[in-house]
Amino acid sequence: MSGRTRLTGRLPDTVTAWLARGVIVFLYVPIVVVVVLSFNDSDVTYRWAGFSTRWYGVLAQDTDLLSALRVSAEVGVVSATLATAGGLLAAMGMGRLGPRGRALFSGSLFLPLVIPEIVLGVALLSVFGTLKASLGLTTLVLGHLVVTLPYAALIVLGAHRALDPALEEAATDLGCGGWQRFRLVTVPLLKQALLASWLLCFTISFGNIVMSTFTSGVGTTTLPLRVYSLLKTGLTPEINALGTLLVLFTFVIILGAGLRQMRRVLVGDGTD
Amino acid sequence: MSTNPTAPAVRLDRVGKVFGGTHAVRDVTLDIRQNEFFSILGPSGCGKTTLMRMITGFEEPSEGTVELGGVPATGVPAHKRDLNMLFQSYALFPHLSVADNVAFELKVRKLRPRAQIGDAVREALALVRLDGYGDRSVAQLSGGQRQRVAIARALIGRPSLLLLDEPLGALDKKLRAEMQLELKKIQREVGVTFVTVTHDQEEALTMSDRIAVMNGGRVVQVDTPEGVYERPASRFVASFIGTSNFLSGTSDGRVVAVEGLGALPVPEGGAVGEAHLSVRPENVGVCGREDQVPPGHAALRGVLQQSVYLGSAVRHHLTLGDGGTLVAETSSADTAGLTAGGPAWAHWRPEASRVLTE
Ligand SMILES: Nc1ncnc2c1ncn2[C@@H]1O[C@H](COP(=O)(O)OP(=O)(O)OP(=O)(O)O)[C@@H](O)[C@H]1O
Ligand SMILES: [Mg+2]
Repeated sequence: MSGRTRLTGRLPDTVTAWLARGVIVFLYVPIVVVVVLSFNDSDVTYRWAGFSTRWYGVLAQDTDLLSALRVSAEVGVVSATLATAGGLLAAMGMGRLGPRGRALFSGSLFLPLVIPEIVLGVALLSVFGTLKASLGLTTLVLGHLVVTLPYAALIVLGAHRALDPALEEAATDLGCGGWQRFRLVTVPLLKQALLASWLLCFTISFGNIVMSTFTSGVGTTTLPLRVYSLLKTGLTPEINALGTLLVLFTFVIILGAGLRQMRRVLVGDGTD
Repeated sequence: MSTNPTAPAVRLDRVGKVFGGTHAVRDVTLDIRQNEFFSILGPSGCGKTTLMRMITGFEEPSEGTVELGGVPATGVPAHKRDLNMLFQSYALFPHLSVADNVAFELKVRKLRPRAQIGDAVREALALVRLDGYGDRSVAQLSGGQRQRVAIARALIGRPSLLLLDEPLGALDKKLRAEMQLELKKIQREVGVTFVTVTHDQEEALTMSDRIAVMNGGRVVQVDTPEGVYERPASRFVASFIGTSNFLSGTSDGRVVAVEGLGALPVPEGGAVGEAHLSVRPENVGVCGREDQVPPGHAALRGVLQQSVYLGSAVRHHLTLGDGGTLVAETSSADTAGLTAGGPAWAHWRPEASRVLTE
């Protein structure tokens, strides 16, 4: 027994290893279940009735669901792009502020993170109501920006602060005006953070329900809202088929580019 | 910026910089000549970096003016100044290869047609003896190699001035000594004015044509290495560069009368009044009896506390009659007749001493 030699109060390595495996299984079992059940030849999601791909056919015909998917994708792309651009601008602007202004500015940027989303949603809806703005894609994007911008700012500001300030000075010293320095040095150095921010914001926007409930209008139902309403009428394996396709899509993206950068920025596991 | 070839490379006129009410740099007036290797030397926090950043344009002076090559630099943004800086952290761009780092300025300033950039980069890398390293990534280089890349990058556009902030600070001792000679050699080869900042007096003495010694935001002396060492203008300079013994007393221009020790002859024509006599340990001899003191030397009687063997020299610590201590360094051969705890005479040629009033 190695128990005598290891009196550090840590769990034995084998236990830790099994715990880790358990967590992984817990995280991935639902995904596997979704994929399996999408090939279920039954009208209900939870009872297995043999293999079939018919729900993929149903999905391909379901214009309601597909248009909701399209709305979500559009809103996700636009708000992730705007939020990331906003985060970058915030990082640039931060450098020009004094220490007091900096604290105030970053405080107000991150405040929405600790305000319950439902409060933000209600507040935003009142603003739109006061302005007599009709709910639609624009209000949806604005709502998602309120939710995603703090995350984008968190990631991009953090990465910018971690840069050696001498790098940007060196660019200036070697002849870069403001725009050249931004294009040739700042953006390339923040590339990974920008990518991570974009992916995170897209994911947040794509899965968002609360803010969407307040800011979507007629004809701009997002995918989560649509799925949520289907819950009341009864889910079919069509949802699993959609889920499977989304999982596949996510894996392609993550394996393609995101995973390494995402981990590097979020966990700070810098290997370069 | 068109510059005048006969004007000083840098002219600072009563330059000052205030940060939040306190002066980081105060009333600095000095000329840096074309093609000289100039060092700014001083203790940590004395304003060296701030002074340098006002030359590069990263900081605007709060007072006074900066001229570069005879042209006022006020209002000229940093990226339009005909000078480059070597950063203490090197500041190599991690997203670019060695060659792209070196080529950066040529591309940005469009100094050469694209087709010639490759040759220029090879030439610049050869200058710093890094031939063939162009394709490496910056992360693959050692500290010394990074610094060489930074030098190549800073020099490729042939600036008329290169500013180096603690260029050797991050290197180990052996590499430092090597790079000191190397920097000097590169400077001669390219014929560019070098201004380095350092708090290492040995480094400044080895590399520089002239040295500005700073203390508390002011430049307290500008001279050749020999000048600041042999003819320090103040107690601060005498003790910051090398070590010195100080004896305080009253000078009449020929002798300094030190209370409790007597009158010590000093070089003719020195200051009059309250003064400090300063003498370097290596100029002080030690002997066991008064009759061994060479004629004409200033001499002080004391008690030998201890002698420390240093290899090439022996360092003697003496306690003087007024309770003060005096340090002497002699070549190892001269220790005969001295015993720790016994009487000893310290002596020096009057010309080897200095009378300092501040
Ligand atoms: N941006 C700034 N804001 C406020 N104070 C500053 C700033 N830069 C420098 N100082 C102050 O000015 C003084 C001089 O700083 P500086 O960096 O020029 O010193 P230095 O001689 O280069 O020191 P070191 O050898 O440690 O690098 C210091 O007291 C420092 O705290
Ligand atoms: Mg400094």
